[in-house]
Amino acid sequence: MSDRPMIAPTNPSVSVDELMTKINEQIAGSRAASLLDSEGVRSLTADTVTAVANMEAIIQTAETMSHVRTSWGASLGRFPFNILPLRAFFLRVLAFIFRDQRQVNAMLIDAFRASLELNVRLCEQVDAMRARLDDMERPKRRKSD
Amino acid sequence: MKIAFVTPWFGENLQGGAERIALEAAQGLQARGHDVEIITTCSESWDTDWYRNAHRPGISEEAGLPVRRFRVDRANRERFDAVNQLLLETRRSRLKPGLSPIDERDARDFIKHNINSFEMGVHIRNHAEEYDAFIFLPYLYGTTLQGWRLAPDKAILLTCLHDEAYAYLPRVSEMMLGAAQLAFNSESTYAIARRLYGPAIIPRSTVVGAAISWPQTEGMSAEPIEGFEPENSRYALYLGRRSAEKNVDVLERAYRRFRELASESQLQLVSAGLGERTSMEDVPGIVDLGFVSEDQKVRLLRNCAMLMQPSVNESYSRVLMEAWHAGRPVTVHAECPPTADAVRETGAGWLASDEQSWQKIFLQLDATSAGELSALGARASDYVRRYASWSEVLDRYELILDEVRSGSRHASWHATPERHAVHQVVSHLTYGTSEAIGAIALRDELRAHGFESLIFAQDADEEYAAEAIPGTPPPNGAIVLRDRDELTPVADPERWNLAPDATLMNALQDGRTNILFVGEVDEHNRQLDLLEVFGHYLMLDFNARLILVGRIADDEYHRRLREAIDRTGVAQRILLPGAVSEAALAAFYRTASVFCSLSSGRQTVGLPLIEAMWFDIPVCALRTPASEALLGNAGVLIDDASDRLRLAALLRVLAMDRNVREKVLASQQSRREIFAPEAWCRQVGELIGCA
Repeated sequence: MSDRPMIAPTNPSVSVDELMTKINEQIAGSRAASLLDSEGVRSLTADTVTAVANMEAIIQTAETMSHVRTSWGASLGRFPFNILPLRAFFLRVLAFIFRDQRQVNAMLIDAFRASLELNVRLCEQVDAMRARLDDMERPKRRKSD
Repeated sequence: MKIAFVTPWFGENLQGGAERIALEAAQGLQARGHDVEIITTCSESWDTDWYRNAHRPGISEEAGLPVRRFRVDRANRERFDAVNQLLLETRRSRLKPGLSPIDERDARDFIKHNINSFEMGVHIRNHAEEYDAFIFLPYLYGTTLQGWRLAPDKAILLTCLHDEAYAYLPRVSEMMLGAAQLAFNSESTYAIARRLYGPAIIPRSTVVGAAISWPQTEGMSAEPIEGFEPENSRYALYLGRRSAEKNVDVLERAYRRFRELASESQLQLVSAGLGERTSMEDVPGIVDLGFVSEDQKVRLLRNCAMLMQPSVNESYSRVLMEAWHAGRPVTVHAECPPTADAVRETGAGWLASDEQSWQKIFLQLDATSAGELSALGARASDYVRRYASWSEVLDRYELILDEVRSGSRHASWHATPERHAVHQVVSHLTYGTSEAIGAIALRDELRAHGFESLIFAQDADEEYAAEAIPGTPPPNGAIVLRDRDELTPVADPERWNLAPDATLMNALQDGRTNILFVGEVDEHNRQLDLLEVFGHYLMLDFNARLILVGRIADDEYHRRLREAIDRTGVAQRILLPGAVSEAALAAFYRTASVFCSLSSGRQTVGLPLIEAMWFDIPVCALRTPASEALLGNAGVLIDDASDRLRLAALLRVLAMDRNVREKVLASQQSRREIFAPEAWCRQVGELIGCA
């Protein structure tokens, strides 16, 4: 990364400062992106970044699906499931039955997220160590030449 | 100039928006000295039996205008109603540009059993030469859908377009792409049309506005209207047809909830117009006046606290303009672009959507002083002058009529006996490259000016086999162009006057953000870098897709790119289709959320940047002398692409942030005019010494 400003101020209708604020908001709004933006984790390879994005998406989907169901699926809009009191009753029963499971799911999601963060930092450390090793190897190779 | 307005219904007392526009525009043009005639059916009105001939066929004079009426065709009403119901029930989320909301048979029957008149068609076809222009309105009825085909070169569509299922029918799309000129009554409906039918309509489109006639207020009666005294009451006003699709019931329920919270309030909700009567007459403060006269309408508007327009199906709300003309503020539905955009632009009102937000509007209105409301309404005075004054609107009508009469943009210069042939020589005509597209465009332009023009190429791709001639031009005094560098690149939006690939249109409109790049697969176009940026983009929005369109110029680079894509683990999110047909390319452009180019060096991708601007896609490009020359002060140029995460976030802002997107698109809309056909035409004339 260089120190040059990213956006060229060529379009007078767009404020570069405003745009940069929105860009930083976008990054701050994503846990995975914030992690990648933190000090020491900025030089991961593209493959690792894509893999992290993929896993983060899976976690987000799991998180969304793990909440208590408050609405009825569109495919169950037929009799007798379209009777409102019956529907509310079923939703309460489902919430009760899967209460423990939801807690397990929430803990698994947290654990997976923590594991992902750990993996990202480990990848970064491996990359840094590899770079240092390369630096140490280089003079030896030169001598042997 | 002899002009005919073609409309399914006509009458001095008809209240529909399109009927009023036809009447008033026809009278206005007649007053300016044009020979204006109304061509219509014998059917009485929109809200009576369409297929009953209530008027006598033939010529008569109505409202000072010659009116030529024709008998309506018999049709299967049940079949029409069934298809119409299907269209009405289509959820907005299922409407996708370039795709029909109903099957082919239903779409055919919608037109076949619509309001049509065979006799009218015969008259238009047989007498087309006698007219300079036919103005068809509105877009969704048989008289327009069938009539324009009979005189396409003279057909002006005064569209009265809405973002609704009818507008997505293939025959409507065909009409928009085929008519000589399109006129829109607001910027917002024009934007809807560009989204639905693509950039090919741009050179033939004009926003004319829609003027309002304001009756003299002197000597108006001050008698109560059905016992209601506008001058002595504080009330919110709904004016218009009372029906479910106008959302009047939402408005009334919101008012009822407001009254439950503010039982002491003096604020009333008054409605006036045709249609079903309110079922909430027992709610204190709700007043339904039914149909009112023009004078009564003006009194209601002048004295209301605020006009309420809860409908989402408005192409141009006359009453909104009338309220602003009377200096009153408005509240409109936030999801009705034509009215909501006008409120956003002027700031002369508020927005609401669901019942709860309408209830909040009533609470806010109740707490706002009369002075504050007057100041709010006054903010729209310039807007009303621009779009609703007859003098301005008729000027724009006359410009369109002149264009239809002159027939072509090629009228300024022509071949002469001394200069009659201009040929081009190129080494290779490569499919899809800007050089090849430019050469073909130049040849077509020259031919349109009456020149003999050929392209001589040593070799040509299979797709261009018919476009190029091998060898060199014959030495017969023709002008030979060997280097087109002096010309600005051309990107004629008319090139996209085609149906986009339907399969792709369907697949690409699945809710994902489409990040597009068009350019040959080659090192200097840096598709590998784009892939990295896309990896970071997925952090911010996993619901995205990267599309890298372009012929493979470097096999080794293509292999590396292919391998890198396979390594990502999300290869299904990345499309690398190679060279594609024009219909497929149109589909990629039409569905793109953002265009990103990291091309570097001299060979920066050129034509796709301009085409992206025509397709209203926000463009982000690496700054190079070439990209800067094309984008100028439009789009977003970047100096540094090394911070992949921030570049990805920039793409997301361009794709999602409404405010930024609108600003960027507005800048691109003015920039692209440099590459418009008119500018190109002038340059070509200068190049060969004719202009």
